Amino acid sequence: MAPILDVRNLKAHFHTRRGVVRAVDGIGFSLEKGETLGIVGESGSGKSVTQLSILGLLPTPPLKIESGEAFFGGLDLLKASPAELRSVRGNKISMIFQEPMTSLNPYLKIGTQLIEPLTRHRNLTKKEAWAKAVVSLEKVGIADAESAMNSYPHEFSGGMRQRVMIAMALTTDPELLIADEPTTALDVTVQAQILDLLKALQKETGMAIILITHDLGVVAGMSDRVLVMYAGKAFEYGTTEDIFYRSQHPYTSALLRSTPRLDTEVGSLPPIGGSPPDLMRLTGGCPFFERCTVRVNDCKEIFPEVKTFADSHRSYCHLKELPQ
Amino acid sequence: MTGTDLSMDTNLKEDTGGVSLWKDAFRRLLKNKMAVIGGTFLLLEILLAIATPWIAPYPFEAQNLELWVEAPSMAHWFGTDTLGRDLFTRVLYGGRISLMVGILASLVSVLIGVTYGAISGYLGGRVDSLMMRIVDVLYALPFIFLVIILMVYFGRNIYLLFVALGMTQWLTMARIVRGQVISLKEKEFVQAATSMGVRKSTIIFKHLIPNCLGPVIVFMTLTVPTVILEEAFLSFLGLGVQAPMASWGTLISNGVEVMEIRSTVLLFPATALGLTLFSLNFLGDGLRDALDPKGAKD
Amino acid sequence: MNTTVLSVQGLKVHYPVRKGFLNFNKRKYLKAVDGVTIELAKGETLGLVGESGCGKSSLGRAIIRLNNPTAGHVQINGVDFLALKGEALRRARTDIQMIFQDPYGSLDPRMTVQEILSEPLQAHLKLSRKEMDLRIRQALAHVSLRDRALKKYPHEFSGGQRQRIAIARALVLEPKILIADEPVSSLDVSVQAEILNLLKEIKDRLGLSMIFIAHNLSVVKYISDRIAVMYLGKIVEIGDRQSLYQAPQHPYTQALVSAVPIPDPRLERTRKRIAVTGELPSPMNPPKGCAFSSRCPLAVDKCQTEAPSLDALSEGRWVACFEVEKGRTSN
Repeated sequence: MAPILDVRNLKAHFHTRRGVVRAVDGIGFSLEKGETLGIVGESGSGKSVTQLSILGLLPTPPLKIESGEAFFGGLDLLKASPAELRSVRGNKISMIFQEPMTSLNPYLKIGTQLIEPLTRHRNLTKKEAWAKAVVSLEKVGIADAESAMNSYPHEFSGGMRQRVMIAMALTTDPELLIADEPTTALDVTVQAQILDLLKALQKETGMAIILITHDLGVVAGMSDRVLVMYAGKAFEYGTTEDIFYRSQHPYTSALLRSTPRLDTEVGSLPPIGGSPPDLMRLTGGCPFFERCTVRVNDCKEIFPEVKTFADSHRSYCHLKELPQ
Repeated sequence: MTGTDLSMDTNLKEDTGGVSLWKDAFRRLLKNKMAVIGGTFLLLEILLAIATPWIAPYPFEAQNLELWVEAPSMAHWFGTDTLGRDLFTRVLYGGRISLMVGILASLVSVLIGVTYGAISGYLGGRVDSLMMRIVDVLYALPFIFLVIILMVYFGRNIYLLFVALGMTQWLTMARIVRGQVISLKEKEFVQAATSMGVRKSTIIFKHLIPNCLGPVIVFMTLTVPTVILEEAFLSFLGLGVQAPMASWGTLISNGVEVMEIRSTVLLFPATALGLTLFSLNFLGDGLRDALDPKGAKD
Repeated sequence: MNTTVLSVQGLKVHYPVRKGFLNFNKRKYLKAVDGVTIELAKGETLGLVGESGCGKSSLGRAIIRLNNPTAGHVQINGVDFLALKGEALRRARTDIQMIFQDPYGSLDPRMTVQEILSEPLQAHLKLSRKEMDLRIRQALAHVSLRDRALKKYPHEFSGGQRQRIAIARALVLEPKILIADEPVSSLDVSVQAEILNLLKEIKDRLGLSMIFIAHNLSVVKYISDRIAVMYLGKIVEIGDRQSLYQAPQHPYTQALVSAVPIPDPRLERTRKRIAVTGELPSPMNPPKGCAFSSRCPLAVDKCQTEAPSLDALSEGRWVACFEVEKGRTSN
């Protein structure tokens, strides 16, 4: 089956007064219909910039797409015209963000905002769009959808707003939903509700999901495939089981070991020393070099070639095999 | 733990000195051309003002009634005024007075305004409400008339002028500082100091005031021209500095009288004042950008 | 039983909420902390968990008197901390120190590390320059930072390093109790473990007691000996960390524990979640009776009208739930 989104060797750099920030530097991934790709990384790893640059949502300049392809259907999103991108965004590809309040207009009723993508992309009449929006709200578990349509965003709690955002993203029946830290601002009991909702909706509609998060636990429960990013680079890519049980990258495995878990008892977590590098001051080598406990001489100067393991499991590390 | 030391230190900048936010801001200020030009011009003016008694070609009160509003010449670079005094000398001395009034009066306003605003903002509650209502009432008074009454009552005294003009400016300063302090008070470093048992006075003077100096400095660069203009206005009314001493304000008001006969008598002091005001504004703009923490990020 | 270093009894923090301008009579109160009783033993770490708005931070701040408790008692080493005023309060603050969430906000950006670390010393002790230097260097060594950090400013450090500086500052006065309010939640994931280990190690080495406040249950479980779960200003369950996670009793604790994602795909996909509906009610307008009754899957009529008290279930285990108690007595 052909992937619905295929991104290859994406490089997106910010050109600022102080220098070049290699926010995204050679990222590739693909995902198929009905699949969930988790993109894991810390702040500054480039996980959000990757998505925003693919959708043309970042101002250029300062951002410049240095290279790469991002095929969605037959269209290379990186070379598409603004008009072509607009027809895809909010239509076949929808997004939800961490803080729903910032993506909802506080002065407009929920209903007005919900029918907008439908009247624009689907040429529906207001009445048809309204009916469809109500169905969407019901789908995301909002009781009394009709009255919700006539409410303003501030009348909802954080979790309800995120439900509204999801409803809004789903009105156009997108093929791909990009969720950027969708539950980070929510409490864990509400997070569980939202994640369950996303899973159920995916099962029903067959849409693909890109889930951007820093939370390994969320990824473990949600994703089919995982891309691990660090300082703009792809470090490891594979099925969720590859990443969590057969990791071939020292960063991934160190991160997994250093994350406190609810289900196990450890006397002491092995920490990762140091902190993520300043993107302004990257050398040509592996950005994890300074913090890596298994580094070799080459790591400082040369970013490793890709190593392929079983199936699509890829890792970028100079070591032939990661010592367990 | 020791294994992590190496990588931690590589994240630090190489120099061991440490760069304070002030140094950092100064570096950014130097990148702003207009601010540098303005700053240099002001510095030059201040140096000239200090050196005036030694470099002025004539005594400032020396009259020569035969040279009534002469045009600029080799002997008198800016020409002469209505009493035949050398205008170049007068502009130099005038600058001395105007800059002094501007800077000292602004300092007075900063001193009162910062202390008042910081105390009001930090203590909060009823004290704050009361202190701010007082400011509101004072705002409502036509302050320049108060100055005029003071000057008439106590006589024309240059030091009184500094204080009186400073008194007109501290209100806005107090409000700015109060606003800053209220937002700083919520910052965790202030709460940390409180929870460590640091004295209130220490918190105000070591944490709150240094952290609101940025806006204070910017506002000061705007206060200086206001005060200079107010002094000019008072001089224009004959309430400024006492003749034969002159400020740019008195020089301009004299120049206006003979504007139609010899425009240079007005032009030179007016240009000096204008350039100073421009420089202060450019410097103020530059400082605002340089001290803005948002600017520090990119 | 160990000696108790901190004892909190019936602590309440109610914030008056002004409703309208001339509405003097109908004063509403936001009950951020509503009658909390906890004890902290010497050398112990007590974890305080709950979702945002549950009052855990307000509780921490009330104990350290950054906000003023409305009612209740706080005793530190037997001294009534809430009765202290002015200079006596200022002096007593040396015993209990706080570590804040945001290492970017908790350090004065215009001070060097040296100035930051010497400030508490200057406020309380008359030390010679030499003695002060020694104390500062000791504190710095505790958090594995080098001496050359002293001349630098906070903005020259990474988040993790700043949090180390903040920890060092909390240590210079050699306190007996630390209150850590979400000390790792603003740090990068890969840096958190290091700070957690550091806190653990320092606490053991210096024999401190600690209240560790966080929303992340996995983190709290890693560092704490005992854990208290808060919901809408009240503690609903307290227990030692293992039993609390292995056998949560209160329906809210059960829901919370089951909702925490575990970074293990096979396990995570087969776990059973105890679903709770809805979200935290507004603390301005909490449900009558048990605060959790509006979301509780076990709620019965009694829960809507009467608030359960926190009662001992077994040794060291306290739960505030009618249904749990009923289960116990019927067994």
